[in-house]
Amino acid sequence: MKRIILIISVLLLSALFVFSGVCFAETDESADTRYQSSQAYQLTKYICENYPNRRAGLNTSVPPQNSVQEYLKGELADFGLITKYKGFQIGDNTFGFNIEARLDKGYDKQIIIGAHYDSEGQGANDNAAGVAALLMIAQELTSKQDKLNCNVVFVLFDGEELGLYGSQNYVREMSSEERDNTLVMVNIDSIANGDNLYLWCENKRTGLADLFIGQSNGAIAEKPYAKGTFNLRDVFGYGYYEFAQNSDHSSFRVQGIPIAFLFSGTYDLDPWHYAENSDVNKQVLNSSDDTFENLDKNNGAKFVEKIDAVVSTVIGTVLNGDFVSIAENQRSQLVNLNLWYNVWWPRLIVFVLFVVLVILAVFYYRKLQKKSILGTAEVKNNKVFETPEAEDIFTFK
Amino acid sequence: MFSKLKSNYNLSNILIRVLFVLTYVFMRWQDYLGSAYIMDLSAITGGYISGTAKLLLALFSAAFMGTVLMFLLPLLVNIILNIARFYSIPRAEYCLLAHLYCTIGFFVCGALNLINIITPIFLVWGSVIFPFIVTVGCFISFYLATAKLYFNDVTTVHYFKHMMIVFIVIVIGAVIL
Repeated sequence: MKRIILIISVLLLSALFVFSGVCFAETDESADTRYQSSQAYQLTKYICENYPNRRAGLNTSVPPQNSVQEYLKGELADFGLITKYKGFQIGDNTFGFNIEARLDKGYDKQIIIGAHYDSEGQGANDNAAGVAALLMIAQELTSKQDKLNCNVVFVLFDGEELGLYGSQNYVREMSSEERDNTLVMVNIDSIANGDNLYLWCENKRTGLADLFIGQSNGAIAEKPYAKGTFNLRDVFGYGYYEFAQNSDHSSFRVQGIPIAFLFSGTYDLDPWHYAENSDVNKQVLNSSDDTFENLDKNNGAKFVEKIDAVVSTVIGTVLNGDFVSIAENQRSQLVNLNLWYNVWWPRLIVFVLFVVLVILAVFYYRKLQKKSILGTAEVKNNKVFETPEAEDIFTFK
Repeated sequence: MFSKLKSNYNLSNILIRVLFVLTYVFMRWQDYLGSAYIMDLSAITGGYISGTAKLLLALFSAAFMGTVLMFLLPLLVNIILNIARFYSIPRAEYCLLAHLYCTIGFFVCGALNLINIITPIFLVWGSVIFPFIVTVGCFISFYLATAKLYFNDVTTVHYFKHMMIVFIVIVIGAVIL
């Protein structure tokens, strides 16, 4: 009997050992590839592989058919949102299509959450990842719409890479009342491939930035002020050029609408600059190397973590009870981007000071003139440098 | 130290010229860094954002311009003195003083430009106001020093008038515009 119990015990232990080994092996393997089953991964991959060419103006049919536009509109409509195309002209025979989806809860105030879907090449980081994040946010907010304190408008912009055509056109078509009622425009662009995730609201500390950063649990940092900024007037109306302005939020910000721009990259390489990634081999922005394959190969689970961090941060911020009051206050904290303030006021002040100085100089000149009448005209032979003695020149010491 | 420098013109000349270039780099490095980066972004890579540091390129460019300016300054000073018909001034010494006051001005302006690190708003306002403050300060102190050294009560009036014309041209051309 004892022998039988011993044999059974040995067999059981062996079986347990083998089974646990298999289990651990499976766990290790799944830990490496688990991120690939995530929604962020699947959505980004789907957009890149099924719509690898999303350059603005390619689709000439109105409304666009069998295209990325149709897919994205369909996805947003499936969440229960009211969707529509907002077409605009880019060139003579080129058209772009913004896709708008509204989550209308009957409030006066609204926020706009946007990402551009057009790209140069496959555009995995720029901006399939951003579009994936927006779709995930839309799905989540729709399911939690009872907790919202304002309306939400999701906009997928076209023509960003050609010069922010989609967002500029979108803002132009907004009524002044709609602009006034927009609390903040959240822009998601190129969030997956950089070293760090950044938020840019304004070039100074604001309550809205604090709220976003607080909701991110350390995943997102505020863009360092003045870094990546150059003394060069730009086309957006800023008095300076900054490597955080070149996306769709700029079209809203120059119209006085507060913005929150989420992007990835690094400002740590040298004292002043922005770069997509600290590793030169991973810098693929706006190139044919910005593919899903490279994004996955270079970042692995990290790019999914970044997308998830952006999604949870935006949702956490928008659903926060203080969001509306903080966002309303943000408008009063905006830096003045007026061209007069930025460019002409300092010059005008200097010019006034200059005129005052010239007037004072004229008085001083008259005083000198009077002094010269009574003064002496003696020859002055003063010198700063002493004339060396002949002895010093010709004697070698 | 100063007495040694006063008795050694060549040493002072070399020292001030080197400092002139260095302080010019200190004053303008941010502008050159921005230019180098934007040139790289738009012209060379066609929109591809490079992470390669352009600090060395910017410093070399600024040093090159500083050196050019260092050689141009005596030429300009001589032209102005000839136009104003000031022939009795020790030109070499006068040019060295011009270099010295420019050097001091560049250093002060560079120090003020460091405020740009705080916010871009200073970048815009500072780029106009800082050079103006420094130009005024340097011009006044340079005028007072040279007038006391080389001009009497009668010639000072003439000298002041020409200094004002140069000042107006520099402020309108280089600072306001």
